[in-house]
Amino acid sequence: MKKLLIAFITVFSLSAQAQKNTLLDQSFWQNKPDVSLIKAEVEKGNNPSQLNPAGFDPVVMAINAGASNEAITYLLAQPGNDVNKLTHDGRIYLHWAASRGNVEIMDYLISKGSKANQEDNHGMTVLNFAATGGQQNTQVYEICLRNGANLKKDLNHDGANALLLAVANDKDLKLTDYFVSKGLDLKSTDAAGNNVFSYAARSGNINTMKVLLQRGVSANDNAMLMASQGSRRGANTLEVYQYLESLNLKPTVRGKNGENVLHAIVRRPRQNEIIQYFLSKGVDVNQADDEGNTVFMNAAASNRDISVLEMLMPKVKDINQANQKGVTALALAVKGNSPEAVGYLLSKGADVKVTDKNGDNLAAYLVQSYSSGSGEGRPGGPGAKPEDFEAKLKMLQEKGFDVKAPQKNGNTLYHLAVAKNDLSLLKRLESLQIDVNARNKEGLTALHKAAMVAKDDTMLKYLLSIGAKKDIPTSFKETAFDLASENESLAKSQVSVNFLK
Amino acid sequence: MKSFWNKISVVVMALSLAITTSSFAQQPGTTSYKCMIQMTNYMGEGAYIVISLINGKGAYEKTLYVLGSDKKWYPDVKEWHKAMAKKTPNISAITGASVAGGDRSVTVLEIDNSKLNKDYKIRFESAVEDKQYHVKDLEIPLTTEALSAKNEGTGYIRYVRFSPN
Repeated sequence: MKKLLIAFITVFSLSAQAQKNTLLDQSFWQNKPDVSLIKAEVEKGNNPSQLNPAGFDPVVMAINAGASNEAITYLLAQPGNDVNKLTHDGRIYLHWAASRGNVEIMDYLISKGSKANQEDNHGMTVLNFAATGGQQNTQVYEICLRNGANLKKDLNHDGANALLLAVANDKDLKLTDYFVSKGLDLKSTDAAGNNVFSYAARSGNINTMKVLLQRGVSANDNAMLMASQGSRRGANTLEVYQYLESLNLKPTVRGKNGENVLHAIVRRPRQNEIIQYFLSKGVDVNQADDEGNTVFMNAAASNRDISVLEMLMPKVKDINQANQKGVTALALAVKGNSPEAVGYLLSKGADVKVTDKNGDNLAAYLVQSYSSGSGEGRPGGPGAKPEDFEAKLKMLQEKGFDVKAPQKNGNTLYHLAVAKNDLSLLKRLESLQIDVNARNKEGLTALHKAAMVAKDDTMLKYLLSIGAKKDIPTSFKETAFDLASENESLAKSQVSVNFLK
Repeated sequence: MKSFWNKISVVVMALSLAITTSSFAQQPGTTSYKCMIQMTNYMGEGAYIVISLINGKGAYEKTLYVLGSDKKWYPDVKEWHKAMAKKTPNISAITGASVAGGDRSVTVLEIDNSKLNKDYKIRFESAVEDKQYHVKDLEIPLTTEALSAKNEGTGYIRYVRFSPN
């Protein structure tokens, strides 16, 4: 027993050490380490090219933290840090260096073959990414323009050019003037017809908006919608909306995708006063956007403040209205909101027997909401706890929800939990008495699915321990052993799968 | 396993016979094929995969299936998205969920009989958030032979298998 304990502790501390890469620690970079310190960390075995789960690697962190160029070039010379390596949001190092205004590193990267017209996941070229961040050093843009950037042709996925993208962070319109001097039109619009005034409205800078009006840019209703989206830094204030209304912009405006201002506003926390304001202006909570989502459904999906749901509820025509995928407010709340929000919708008559267009019932949404509690886990929304799973399930069952009913594609909760690759969720299902050997419409059992997606043997061994059968074949005549033998993750970590024979 | 594939080949032969007959009689119809895509255990988010019919000139002729339903990520499937920008097809009937690492997806492809054993290809194009994009994760000639074999992918796809639906 004692030996076992020691072995356990050793393994545990080893794995804890293996997980912690100093070079991926923000605080390491905040202290502006010099190159010898970084070298020492690399020599200790910290991997200089590892990507963290968000797709940042030590090079990106060093660039963003303003590390010395000597440190950055040292990291760039390490294997696995090619200049075309894709990092967070599909950006290359040149994106980050440009955004930070580090022209010396930009020149270095370009000399090594980096391309200035590379687009990230949002369709942002290097120049547009730097402009979006409001980088004031125009040398950055000059370098991009010398290396293939084209101000008129390089647009992001919304069809916006650099002038539109820059204005949110361009207080004195220095960049706006610069881009105009380079040939962009102050009256440019994106694909949806939003002009530079609308883009300024999104960041809520009233002074900038006033100056733009003086320069002959017009204010149109779309600006109200852009303001409702807010920026990454936060939502806009009531003052901004009142300013826009004073320019005779319509509060009930609808966008290209059918959305009104409340579609975005109800998703943000602490907007009660603004929501009330727009309700009083006649903005309709039942209006559906192109995907069929109403304002109320958006609130049910993510707003954890019950008082917002209470504010909207009296105006809701049909609580069981579904979007185009067949998803109702309740399904959205089960997936992304708190047990309290689920309870509130149930108390107002939301139907627990709904299925979406794929034939998935609420169990599928419940599984999606589960987060084991480690990290910032997006599913279930901020502050989601593992116990929310049982809390929500109990409420649904009290209203007659059958947790054993498989989805239309035959997936049981076991299949769904395995697909999430989460042992802790799997273990929570034991008391529900679901058939662990059930086959879905593709002929797969939960064990088959686990054999395909597992990263280690724990989930597989757990399924065997609760009665999963090893000899059931798939419709392609494969056994769980066959499938696990093909699994590259298991092979890579040298996990033996012979126990499945 | 072997007898299974024997059966398959008998069915495929019968099928190709049927196709020959129908094309001979100048009755262009479509045949549906079950297509099983088995993914590798790559690290990262669910993959978006677009299955397209490619003509002899290497151009996109038709979208056969799209795995991944959030339009937001379609630009990541770069070449297909670029080609579609000009002629946005309605793909709601041929759209399914994205596929995660290690998982598999079975879809049904409707293929025009008149295109079989001509100069056409089926392309599997794949993209994963923050990861490399594969314009030809897998591309196979649209022939009776290729539709009865196991075809290995080069990116996120481990292999693809067809069977008669």
